[in-house]
Amino acid sequence: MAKFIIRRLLLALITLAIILVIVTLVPNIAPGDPARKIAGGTASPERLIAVTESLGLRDSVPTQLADLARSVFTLDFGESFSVAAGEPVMSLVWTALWNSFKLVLFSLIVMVPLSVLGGLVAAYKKDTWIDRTIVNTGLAFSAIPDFVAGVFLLAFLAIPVEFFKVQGTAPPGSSLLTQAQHLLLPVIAVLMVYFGYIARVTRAGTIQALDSDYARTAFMRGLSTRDVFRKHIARNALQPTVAVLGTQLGYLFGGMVALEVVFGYQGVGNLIIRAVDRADYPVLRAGVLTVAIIYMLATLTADLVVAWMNPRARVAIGEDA
Amino acid sequence: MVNWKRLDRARRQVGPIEVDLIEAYKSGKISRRSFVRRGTIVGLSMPFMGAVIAACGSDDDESEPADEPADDGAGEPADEPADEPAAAGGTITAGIQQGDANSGLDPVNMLDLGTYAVLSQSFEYLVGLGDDGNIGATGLASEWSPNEDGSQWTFTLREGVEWMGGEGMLTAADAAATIERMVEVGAGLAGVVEAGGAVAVDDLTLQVNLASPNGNLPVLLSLFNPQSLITPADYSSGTVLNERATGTGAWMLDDFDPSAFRATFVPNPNWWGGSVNLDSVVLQGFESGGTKVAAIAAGEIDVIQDFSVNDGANLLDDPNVSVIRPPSSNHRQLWFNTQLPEGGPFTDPRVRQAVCYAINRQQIVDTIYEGEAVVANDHPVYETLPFFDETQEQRPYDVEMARQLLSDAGFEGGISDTLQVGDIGEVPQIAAIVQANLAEVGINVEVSVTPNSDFYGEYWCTGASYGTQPETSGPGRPCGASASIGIVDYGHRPTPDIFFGRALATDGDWNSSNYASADFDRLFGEYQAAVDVDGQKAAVSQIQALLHEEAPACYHSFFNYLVGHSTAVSGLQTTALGHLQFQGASIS
Repeated sequence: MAKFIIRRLLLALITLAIILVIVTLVPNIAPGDPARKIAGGTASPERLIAVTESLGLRDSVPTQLADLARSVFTLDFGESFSVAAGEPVMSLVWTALWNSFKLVLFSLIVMVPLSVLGGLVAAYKKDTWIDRTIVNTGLAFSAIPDFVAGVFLLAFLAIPVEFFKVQGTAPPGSSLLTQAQHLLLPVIAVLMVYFGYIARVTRAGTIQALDSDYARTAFMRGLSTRDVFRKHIARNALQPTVAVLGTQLGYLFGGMVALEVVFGYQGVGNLIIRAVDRADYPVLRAGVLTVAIIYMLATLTADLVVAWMNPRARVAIGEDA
Repeated sequence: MVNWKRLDRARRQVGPIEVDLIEAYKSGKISRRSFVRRGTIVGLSMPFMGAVIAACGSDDDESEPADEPADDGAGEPADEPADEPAAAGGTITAGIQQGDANSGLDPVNMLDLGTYAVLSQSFEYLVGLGDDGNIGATGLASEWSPNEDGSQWTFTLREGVEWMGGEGMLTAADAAATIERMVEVGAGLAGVVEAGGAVAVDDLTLQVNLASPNGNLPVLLSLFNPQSLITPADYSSGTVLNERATGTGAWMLDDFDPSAFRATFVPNPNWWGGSVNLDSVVLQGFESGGTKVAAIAAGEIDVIQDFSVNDGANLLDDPNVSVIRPPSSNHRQLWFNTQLPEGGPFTDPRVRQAVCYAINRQQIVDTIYEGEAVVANDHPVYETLPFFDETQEQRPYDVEMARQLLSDAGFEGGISDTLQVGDIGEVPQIAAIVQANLAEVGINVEVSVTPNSDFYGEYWCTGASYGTQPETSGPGRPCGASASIGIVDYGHRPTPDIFFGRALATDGDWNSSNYASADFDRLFGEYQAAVDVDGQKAAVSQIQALLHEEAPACYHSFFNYLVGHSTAVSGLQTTALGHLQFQGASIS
C-alpha cells in the first residue's frame, strides 16, 4: 500500500509539473495582450509596461516557470491584478475554496445517499416500472446542463417561493442553517445533474454483484435480502460509484462555473472564470493549480477507498490481501 | 402679464449671463423647465428663479414645473412623502454592477457604475443632484456663479462640513486639490481646466480659472462627471476608500469585501445634511444581470441599480417593483471611419447617409428596447436639452433613398465590410438588426463581436496611445485605422460636451470616425464659449444640421436607463450614471 501511495504521489507530482508548464505558458500564448486586458482598453502605454513587468512576462519562460514553482511551494502567488486589485491571491483562493468546500460538502450529503439509494432500488427492482422511472428520470435530468437547471430553478422556485434564495452566498454572519438555505438551489441543480449518472453507475454495479456467485451463495445460505445487500452487495457494487465520485470531486470544486455565476456564488469556479475574463493570471494560476491538486487528491483517495473495499484491488496495487 | 418691477429688480441682482437667460425665458425662447435647468447650471437659486417665473407670469405651456417630483427622473425627492409612512431604521440592500477591481475604490480613477455607487455614499460632489434629475445645489457647494464671459467660476462651499476620517473641516483647498488631480489624470476636464486653474481664495471660496470660456463647468464638477468626487487635499490618485475610509457624505464605510464586491455603510453621525432614516445600506455586486433581476424579483434585494430590458422585462410589469427612468442620453453610436481606408466606401458622405437611411430605428426601439428608447436623429443632442433644435427634420427609414445614394456614390453593385462591435449589453443584437437592414440595400456586413476589453484598443481607437496601432494616427486622425464601421457604447451625460469634444471634434481622443471638420470644430467652440442659451442654441442647431449632412456616425436611438426598487422603498434618488442616493430613503 505504501508503495502504491508513493507511486501515486510521484505521478501526481509529474502531473502537477505538466500543469505548471501549461499555466506558465497560458499568458505567453493567449491571444491579445494580457497587460491590456488587465489594465483596461484605454490604459496608457506606461501603465501597460508596468503591468507587463508585474506579470513577469518580460522574463524568459523557464524563469517564469521557476517563479511559479516557487509560488506553489511557498503558497505565495503575489497580489491580484484585476479580480480584487491588491488583495493577496491566496487569500482570494482560500475564501473561494472554503465556499466551494461548503457547496461540495452539502451537495455530497444530499446527492450521494439519494443517488446510491436510487441505484440500489433500481437494481433490485430491475426491469420494473420503478427501475425505468429512476433510470429515465435521472437520464432526463442529466441531459440538462447545470446552468440551465440553475436558471430553471431560479424562475420556478426562487422567485415565487420565498424560502428558496436566488443568491447562493448568505449575508455575512449568517447561521449555518441560513447558509444551507442559500445553498439549497445550487445543490438541487447539482443533484439534478448527477443523480442519474451516479444512480446508473450504482445500478450497474449492483446488478453485476447480484448476478455474482457470492451473492447467489449468500442467498442460498438463507441470509435475508437486507443482510446480503449490506454485507456482500453494497461493498462490491459501490466500488465504481466511489471511483466515479473521486473523479467528479475535482469537477465539483472547480467546474461548476456556470452554476456559481447563475447563483452569484463566490466559489473556485467563479474565481477562475473571473480571472480568465479579466486576465488576472496570478489568480488564474493559483486557482487552476488548486483545482488540479484537489483533483489529484480526490482520485488518490478514491483509489485507496476502493482498495480498502476490495481485496482484489489491494492485490492489484501491490499489497497482499 | 409681466411684472416689470419685479423683473427689473431680479435683473439688477445678477450678471450679464444670468440677465441673458432671464431675457430668453421672458421672450419665450426657452421653456420654464429649460430656464430652471439652465439657471441651476449658472448658479441661480430656486427662490430667485421662482421670483423671475412669477414676474414673467405663468402662461408658459409647460405643464410640469421643474421643482415638482419627477416620476421619470431622479426618483422621489428626498422629502417627498411616500405612499406609506416612512419608517425609521432598517437596511436597504441594493444590487449593483460588480465593480472593476483594476481601479478599485479609487475616486479619481474609477470607471464603472458599481464603483460610482459605492464611492458616492461616502464622498460627495461639489454640485449635486437636483430634484428634476439634473444638477442642483445639493452638494458641497451651496452656490456658484461665472464671471462675465464664463472664463472664471466661483464656488462657495458649505460651512460646517467635516471629514469623517479625522482630516478636520472641508476647505476650498480640498476641492482645488481634487480638481488638480482630475486635470492630472484627464478626468473629464481636459481642455477645460489647466494645471493650477483651481485656486482656494479662502477656506470656503473656490475659484476655477478656465482655459477658455465654458458655460457648463458646474456640470463637469457635478455627479454627472463621476470622478469629480471631492476628496481630502492629500488623497492622492491611487488611494482607495477601503484603505483610507473618509468622506463628507451621509454614509461611512463599515465593511468592504473586494472579492464579492460587497460594501456595507452605516450613517455618518456628523453629516452636514442631518440624520438619515436607515440603519445601514448594503451594496452587493452582481456579475450577472439576470441574477440581479431574479434577486429583486424574489425580494432578496430592495434596489436594482440598473437593468436592461433584455434581462428584466418582467420587472416592468412587476407590481412589487417600482421602475424609475432618470433622464438619459445613453446611446450606441454607429461610427464610420471617414478617412481610412483611403477611397473606401465610408469615406464618402453619401454612403454614410445611405447607411443612416437604411437603419430601421423604430425596429431597434421596438425589438431591442421594447419601447424603452426614443428614435434619435444622427446627432448626440438629447431632445430635452434647452438648446436642442426641434425644428430639424427626422431622418426617415427610407430604403429607396439609401439605394439611390449608394448608386450616386458609385456603389450600386453593393458593399462588403465587417461591422465591429464589443460584447457589451445589447450591442451585438443591434448589430444583427443593422446587418439585416443594410443587406436590404446591398451593403453586406459581417458582424464581428469582440470582448470589450480588446474591442476599444483593437477596433474602436487603434491609433490612440492605448490602441494597438498608434502608428496609424496623426493630426486629424486620432483613431488611425479604427474599423471602417462599428458600434460603440456611450453612457449618459447631461450635456453633449463629451460627445462633441471627445467623439467628434478633430483629434478628439474617442473620435473613432476620424472626423475632421473645421466647421464642426468652430461650431463646437462657439457652443462651449456661449454662456447664454441663445448662443448655445444657435451653435447646436448648426451642429445638428452639419452632423446630419456629413454623417460621421449614425445615432439611431437614445435608450432609457432603468432602475428598480421594491415598493417598500421610498425617497431613493438615482441618476443614469449609477448613483444611488439613500440620504432621504426609507424602507417600510
